[in-house]
Amino acid sequence: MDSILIFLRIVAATLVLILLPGYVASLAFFPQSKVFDFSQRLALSGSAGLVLTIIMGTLLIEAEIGFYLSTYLPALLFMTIFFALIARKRAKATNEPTRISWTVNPKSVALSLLVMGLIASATIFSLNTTDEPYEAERYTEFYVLDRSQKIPYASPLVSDGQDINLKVGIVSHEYDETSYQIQAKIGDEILYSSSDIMLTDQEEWQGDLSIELPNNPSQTLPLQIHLFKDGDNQPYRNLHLWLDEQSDLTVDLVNP
Amino acid sequence: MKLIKQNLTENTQTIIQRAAQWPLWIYSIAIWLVIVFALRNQRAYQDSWVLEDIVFVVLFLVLSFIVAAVNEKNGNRLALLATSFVIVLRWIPGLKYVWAYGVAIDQAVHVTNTEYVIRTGFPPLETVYSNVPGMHILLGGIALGSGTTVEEVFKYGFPILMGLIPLIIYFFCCQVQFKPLLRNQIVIASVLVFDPYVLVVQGSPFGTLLLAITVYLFISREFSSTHMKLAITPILMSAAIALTFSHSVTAIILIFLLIISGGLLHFTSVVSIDNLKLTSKSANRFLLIMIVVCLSWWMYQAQGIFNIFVKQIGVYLTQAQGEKAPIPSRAFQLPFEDLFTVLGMLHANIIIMLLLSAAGLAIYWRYRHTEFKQFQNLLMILFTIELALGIVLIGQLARGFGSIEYLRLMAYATILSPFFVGITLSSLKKWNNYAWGLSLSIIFFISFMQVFPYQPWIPTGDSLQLDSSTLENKSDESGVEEISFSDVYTENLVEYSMDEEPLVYLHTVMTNHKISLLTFTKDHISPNIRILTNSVLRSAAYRFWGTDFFKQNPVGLIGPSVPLDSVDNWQIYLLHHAGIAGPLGEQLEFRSRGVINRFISENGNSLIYNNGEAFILLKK
Repeated sequence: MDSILIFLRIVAATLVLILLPGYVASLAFFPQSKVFDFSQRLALSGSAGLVLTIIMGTLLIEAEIGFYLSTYLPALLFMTIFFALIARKRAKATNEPTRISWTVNPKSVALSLLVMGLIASATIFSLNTTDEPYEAERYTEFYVLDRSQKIPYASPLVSDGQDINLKVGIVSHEYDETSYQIQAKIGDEILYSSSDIMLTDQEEWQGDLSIELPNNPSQTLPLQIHLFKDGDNQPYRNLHLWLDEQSDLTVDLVNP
Repeated sequence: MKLIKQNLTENTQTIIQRAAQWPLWIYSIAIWLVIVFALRNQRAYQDSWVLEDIVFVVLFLVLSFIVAAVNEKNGNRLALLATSFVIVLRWIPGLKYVWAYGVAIDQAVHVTNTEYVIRTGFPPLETVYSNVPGMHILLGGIALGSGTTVEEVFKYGFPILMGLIPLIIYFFCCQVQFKPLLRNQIVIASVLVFDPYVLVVQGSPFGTLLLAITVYLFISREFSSTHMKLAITPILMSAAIALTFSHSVTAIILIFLLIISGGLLHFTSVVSIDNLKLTSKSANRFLLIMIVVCLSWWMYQAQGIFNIFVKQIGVYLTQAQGEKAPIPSRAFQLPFEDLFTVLGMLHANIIIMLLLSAAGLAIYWRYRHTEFKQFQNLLMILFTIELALGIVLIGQLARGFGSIEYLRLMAYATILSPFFVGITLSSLKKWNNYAWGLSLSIIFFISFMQVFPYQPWIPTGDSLQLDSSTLENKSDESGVEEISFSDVYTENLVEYSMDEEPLVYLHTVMTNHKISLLTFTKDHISPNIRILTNSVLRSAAYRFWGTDFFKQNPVGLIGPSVPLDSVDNWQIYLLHHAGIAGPLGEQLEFRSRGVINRFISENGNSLIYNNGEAFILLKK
């Protein structure tokens, strides 16, 4: 729903903020109304609006005023009024009509109504069909952090004779409620299996992982942490941490 | 009876007139369909190609545009048709993808700089674009005014600005008073002015747009009455100043083009053609003012750019630059049919515009004393500017396509090509209406091969035919050793299942997989941790981490042609697979899924983050 509204807002803002000042500037430079057709006037208005906005913005920056909403819009307004006054003066000098005349053409009215109808129906159609934010890929983030919620350094993981405390986290981007299980193991030895963790879309879960390392490691092996999804037998995501092998390693997972 | 007959005739004419407008209605519906379908298929992952799931509505749009343009005789309406078509085509990636299209450093830096400008009121100091903030001011202004994000403005606002190109070309045609037939064909040809960066937001297309405005106003002024000259001058000067404030390379190229083409025109005027208006005093004055504006800005306000400019000239004159080939170096290892396909997807639009321009030039030359007598000077000026571009291009070729780049010059060249292409199209139309319509369709579809390159056609690893048996067989043949693939190359290519992966990615989508990885890293990293990553992720990091992050954490770069384990100075390593998570820029043998998986699992490093496609490794 947001996309179409943002889209329309930007289209409208581009036309108003670039074309309108440009149109007034083009009237100041070319007051003769019959010299150009609509497309030529549009070309001049767009070009003038574009280059004048750049120059005005650069002047705001170079004058140390800064380019903020509170400076940009007043400067744009001032510039537009300035060119409008010049346009009015030049139009008088060249005897050009200063007000716009309206002639109602039934065909033009019908065309306008149709185009407006198309835009309205496109808007309604899009509003109704984009209830989901967008068609994104479904995936899950799986990670470990240290207890201070930071990415761990390499060194604490390989120290022996100390407890390693980590956080394990899951972020679901699966769009549906999803159940996860976590399993930790070294080699073929399963050290821990969690119960089901239910997460909705965009929901994050974190648990504490405590590992007591032995004093006399003999060889290195990775601690593997698997994430299973929806009861599947195959791991959905894997992590591995290189540690020292031990006989009395304990792993505890505690829900926060 | 006579009255009834007259009424009937009038009614018939009205019906015919109304019926003649049906292509416009169909075209309007096609625009609506493209917008709605692209939005309905919006996604944040890299699919097979940019038109996946919307190809039929885009096809419908193109066909309905061709039909509407062919039936339209009113130049005013035709210019509006062309503009709307260009805008909608450029909207497609923005409508279809959640994040602004493109993964190069330019997209990241421009988005970041624009956000910085509207957040602090001033451009950032450290980047190469700090002293040319024109584009950031313009798009930042739209973001401020619309209350939306810069990312969204890049997606939807930038294409609207690019729609000015057909309009300014139409304005020019009207000013120089081309005949309606020729003018209309030029406007149709202006739709084919696709710079090679058509789908991404970069500085170069914006520079090209300002170049178009400046050059066309400049030439229009030369062929206008005194009264009109006075009116065009302020906008022309503003355009020249805005170009200097926005894109320095384009500004300098413009100066070179004007000097070279002025010299060429002087030469031709001495040889045979007189009364060439570019050599008039006012034109020289413009050139002088342009040089003074550029140099003043660069020397007093943008010294960084001036230093780069001087350094580049020194490098250009004294030593070879880093090569930036127009054709991927590996292209010549491909079988002919694959090479042809790749060339088509990289250059089809450029080639078709060059061929049609050459044909148009030949037609102009043939009828220069009759049909084009009135426009002899004008077309001569356009031709000399194109020729000047050719001279710069040849200079670049001689220097191995350095920092100015081949594609940038081709973008400038295509901006000026619609006139010669228009001559060809108008000649075709005069010769045979059906041949013209058919040719127009073929030209459009060939051009779109480059605009929307079909990624699945890009050859995969197996097209190099380097399986182990072939390598053994070829080893016996003479000449194979000259290719001298490294051991890593052959080992990886043969062993690690890269047959299915493309040699190069032309489809470049910013994806949620990468953004999740980058956001996680930013949220959880400690200061002074050394990060290593590839060029695509590093570019994205500028976009999502901001420049301040790089001051706290050194971010190293793994080169495009080296193995993943060739750099040792890192603490965490950010990686992702190419494909659904976006493209990678490295050579295939160093970034295939198999190679990355092996590096993750076998090098003794810890894997601490995994979202299925993107990973963080901790050094062992």
